[in-house]
This record gives sequence, C-alpha cells and structure tokens, in this order.
Amino acid sequence: MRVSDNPGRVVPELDERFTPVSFLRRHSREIGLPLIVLLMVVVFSISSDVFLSAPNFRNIGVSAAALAAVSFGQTFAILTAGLDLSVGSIVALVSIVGALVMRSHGIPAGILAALATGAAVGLVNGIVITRFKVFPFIATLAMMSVVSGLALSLSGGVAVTGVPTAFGDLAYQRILEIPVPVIMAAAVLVVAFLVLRYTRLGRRIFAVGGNEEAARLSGIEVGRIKLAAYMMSGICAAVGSIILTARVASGQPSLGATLPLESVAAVVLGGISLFGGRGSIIGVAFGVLFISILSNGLNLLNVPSYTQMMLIGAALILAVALDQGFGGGRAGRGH
Amino acid sequence: MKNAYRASSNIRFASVIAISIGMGLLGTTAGSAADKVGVSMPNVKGPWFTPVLYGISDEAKKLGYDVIIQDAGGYANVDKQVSQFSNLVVQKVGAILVDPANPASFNGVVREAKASKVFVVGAGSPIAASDVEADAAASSSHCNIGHELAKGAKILLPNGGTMAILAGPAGAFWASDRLRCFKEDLAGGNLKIVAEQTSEQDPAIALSLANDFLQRFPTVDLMYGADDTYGVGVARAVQGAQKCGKVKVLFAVLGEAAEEMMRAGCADYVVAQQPVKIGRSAVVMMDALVKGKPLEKKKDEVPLVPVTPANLNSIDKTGMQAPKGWTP
Repeated sequence: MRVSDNPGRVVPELDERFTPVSFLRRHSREIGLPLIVLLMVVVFSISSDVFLSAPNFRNIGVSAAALAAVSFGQTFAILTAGLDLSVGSIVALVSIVGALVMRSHGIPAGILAALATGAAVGLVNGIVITRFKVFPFIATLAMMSVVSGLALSLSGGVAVTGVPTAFGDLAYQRILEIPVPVIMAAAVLVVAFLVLRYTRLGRRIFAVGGNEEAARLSGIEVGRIKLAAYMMSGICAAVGSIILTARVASGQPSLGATLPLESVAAVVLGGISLFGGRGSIIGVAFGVLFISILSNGLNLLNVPSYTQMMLIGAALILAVALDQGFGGGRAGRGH
Repeated sequence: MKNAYRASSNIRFASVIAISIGMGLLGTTAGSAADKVGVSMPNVKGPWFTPVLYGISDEAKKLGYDVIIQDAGGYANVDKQVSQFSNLVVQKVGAILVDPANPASFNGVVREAKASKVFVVGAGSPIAASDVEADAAASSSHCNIGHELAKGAKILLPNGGTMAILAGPAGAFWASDRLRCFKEDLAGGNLKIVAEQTSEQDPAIALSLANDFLQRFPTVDLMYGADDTYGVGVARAVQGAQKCGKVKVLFAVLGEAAEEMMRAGCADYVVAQQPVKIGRSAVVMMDALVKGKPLEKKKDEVPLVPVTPANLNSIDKTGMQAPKGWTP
C-alpha cells in the first residue's frame, strides 16, 4: 500500500489490484474446471446446431449418469489415497446378478441384490487392502479380473434378457422433464456430499488420506475407514450399473469396460488429489460433465472415434495443465 | 509481476490450444434432416464392417445423402452404441442404419427414434431391437449361416470327427445365433465338439486361441470360426502347425485375408455373406422410406454363397468385398 497525494486515501499497489488473472489464481480450484466446461459448451453450441437443445442435454445427462455414480464412489477410494480399478467389472457383475434376480423375483429384489453385490465386492476389496496389506492398485486390478470372470461365468458369456419392461423403461422416463437416471446420479451426489461434509466418517476419510499415520495416532481406526470407503465405491458402482442395465434393458457381462479409466479421469479432473486427503465432490461432478460434454460434442460433430480418443486425451492434459497453471500447486479446500 | 506474466502466458497458451481445438472441430456439414443418414455399428474395422460401410457409403453418395457413421469401438460397448444411436436421433437424421451389438438393449432408443419420425433400418442385422420392429432390414439370417456352416462341416467330415469352436465375442447375438443353429443341425450326429471358447474379435487373440486348441487336441479334425476374423486366425494357426488340409477350417465371411488362406490351402469351407450388397440394399430401402415410396419388401434376406477352393475363382465377389484399399 502507499499513501496517495490525497490524504486519507490509501491506494493499493499495482500487484494487489483486482485483475482477472489474480482472481482466477485465487479461485482456480473452484472455478477453473467449470469455466472450461462453459467454454466447451460455447464452442460446441457454435459448431453444432443441435448441441444447445433440450433433447441433447437430456442425452448428455443420461449418458453421464452412470459415470457420475461410479465417479462419486471412486472419490471415496481416492480420498483415502487408494484407487478402485474394479469398478468396471463390478458394474458388469451387478448387471448380471441384478438381471438374474429381477427376472425371477421382481424389480425390488433385483435392485437389492444389485446393491448387495456391489457392497460385497467393495468389502472384499477393503479386506484385501487392509488385512492382507495389498496395494490398492494391485488388489483392485486383481479383483477386476476375478469379478469379470465371475460375471462371464454366471451369464455364460451372453446377455441376460427378460428383465421386466418397467425396469428398462426407467432409463427413458422423466420426472419434471428430468430423466430418471440423472435424478439417481444426483441423489448419489447429494448423499456423497453429505457424508463427506457432515459426518464423522467423511472427516475421517479425509484424515486417513491426508496423513494415515497421524490419523492412526489420533485414534482413528484406519482399517475400518478404508473398508467403508471401498464399500461406498462398490455401492456407487452398483448404482451406476443399475442405471446402465436399465438403459440397455438386459444384464450385460461386459458392461462398464471404460468406466475405471473414465471415473479416475473425472475424479482427478475434479481436483481430488491422487495422494488422498483433499478435494471436492462438487469438482468431481464437473469432471464428469467435462468428459460427457466433450464426448457428446465430438459425436455430434461426427468426429471419428479414433480421433476422439486423441482429442479427449489432449483435452484432459490441457484441463489439468490449466488447473495447475492457475492453481500454482496450492492445497485446495476439501468438503 | 513474474507470476502475473506466467499466468497470462499460460492463459494465452491455453486459449490458443482451446481455439485450435475449437477451430478443428468446426465444420459440420449443413444439410436438411432428409439429406443425412446415420449409421450405428459396434465396430467399423474388420472384414465384415468395411464392405458393409462401403456398400452403404457408395449407395448413399449416389442417392445424395450425407452419411454420419458412429462406431462404438467394440461389441462390449453396448451402452456406448445405445448412446450413439440416441445422438443420431438428436441430430435429426432422416434414418438410422443399425447393426445392434445386442438387440435387447435397443428397444428404448428405437422407440425414441420412431417417436421422432426417424426411420430405423437393420443393416447386417435382421432386427434392430428385440421387441420393436425395424422399418426395414437387409441382412443374412445368422441362423441360416449356422445351418450352412453345419452343411459345410458334414461335407468336410462325411465320416464324422472332432471339432474345436472359436465361438466369437461373448454376448454377441450374431455369433451365438450362428453357433446355436450350427449345433442344432449337428445334434445327435457323428461330429463332436471337444472345445469351445468365446474371445474378443481380434485376429491375434483368435490365432493364440487356435494354437492353444491345436496343442490341447492335436488330433482335432475341424476348427470352426464364427466369422473370418476368427477363421483367418484359425487358418494361420493351422498353417503354422503345418496341418493345412489335415485340420479342416470352416468359417463365415470371405474377406481378402480369408481368400488368401483359401488359396494357400488352409481354409476349406467359407459361408460367404455379401456385405456390400447388404449395405446397398439397406440404403435403397432407407431411401424409399424417407421419400415415402412403397417398399417391395420389408426384409431383404441377401443370399449366402458357400465357397470352397473349387469355386473360389468363379464366384462374383463384388457383393462381398470393398475395393482394395477402401477404408471407412
């Protein structure tokens, strides 16, 4: 600060005045990715005459819903400084189990069985990681193979058809013009937000990820917290599977193959640290939006799928680089 | 100052990249809905899809249509293909030509298409969805392919024998239909299946699997491939084991590589579909629907052609293969 010629008036130095750049640097983690998403919306709206339309946004929402549910679950695992690579195969197994049970015992039983299956696989992941001390990357990679094989065995390698029509219709129904899958994903977001922000479990998840030793020394049962995190990941993957199974109206033994990579990308884009302990579930929602809008926009522009793979990878690098450039590596706030 | 400079240069760099990406993405072809036709396939690569897409693209060009091709990247990506189909409906194309990875998954989106007045035509598949009728379809019946393959097996092994099966991708209805009808025709006969496995539709994986079968069953008499991706893998494995002619190789679809293996004496019986004709027929039917003309028939079952080394040089292949070097 310096005193101006006008007594009583203090004029800030040039560096401390408000500028867009300094504003962006201060709030990079909160607004960086939303700004990028907005930029994409603008670009695609200009490039395609159908992008900015209600049917297309509904499409984006429905396509994003399963990824969103899986990504919110993945957030729990990554916040504990872990990783869950088995989410894709959990989706496949839950799809088969849910369809098989639904076919014989109805929709509610099928959904319960689906959620229980996701929780069970999450529990096994957690036990392998905490009791047998296997690194999460290896544990969940191995479980991915086991669970995939189980899904294929149970289904005989073919789709399980004959699910009740009402279940398949769920993916196409709307409440107040919002597709049901979007509502389901939003519900998962709300629950995840509340758990992470307002419950003891949520605070302990951040603590374990932030500094496991310190958490242990302060009396937190680290093993149980990690177990809970992987079970949450499994249950959220099960919700994602229910959404996808309704969408394809059948149990599919190879459903969700791309979800492990996409969910990790969405979580990292959303600002969750791969080292654990910090980040925001709201950021993950924007990460999901980034991936879904980019994919939708490129499809509408008839960009070949091989080119899409390159563009999506480049866009991810750009988004993270922008975030790093403005954020300057400062720690973000977690909630 | 330094920090502001670095940040602003980052902004400039990022803006350039973003604008470049944006500019690169610009260039949608403008056109009315009726001029655009969508194509939804599980895959665009391979000896089946390439000639189908050639038939579609060539015929569509003659009739003045822009073709939007959506490729799900594999039979496992059923949900992606469903999403892409929905995207085509949003793009308000006049019609969608579809080969569904699994018809049971397409009921909802085909209903949506019909509600949006978008015609749905099966291209390479007799159906677009299991419970919703397509407006038209051009294909060969997968079950008939299975019957023809069974005929071929009986011709190759008139005194019976053992068979190993490369069943195709897990969950792909075209492969399971063919195999079901193949087995039905051979049930109770003197041809026995000693091994059966599904696998990804990849020639390297098919080759590896066929090698494993030859190791485990060195006296196997015949190997079955669900299509020529698998069949060529089998033929190469048999060639590598120097058992051409001793182990009979039987599969569907006559692509260029399949033809080569037959000329080398390592593929014995191929049930050839005519994917170029299928693609053309699908477009002709689509054109009639879009223009409101009556269809001669709603389902065009394009005939199959059994191919052996004896007739390989005399059959007309223009309906089976795209011109050399053509890619979608």
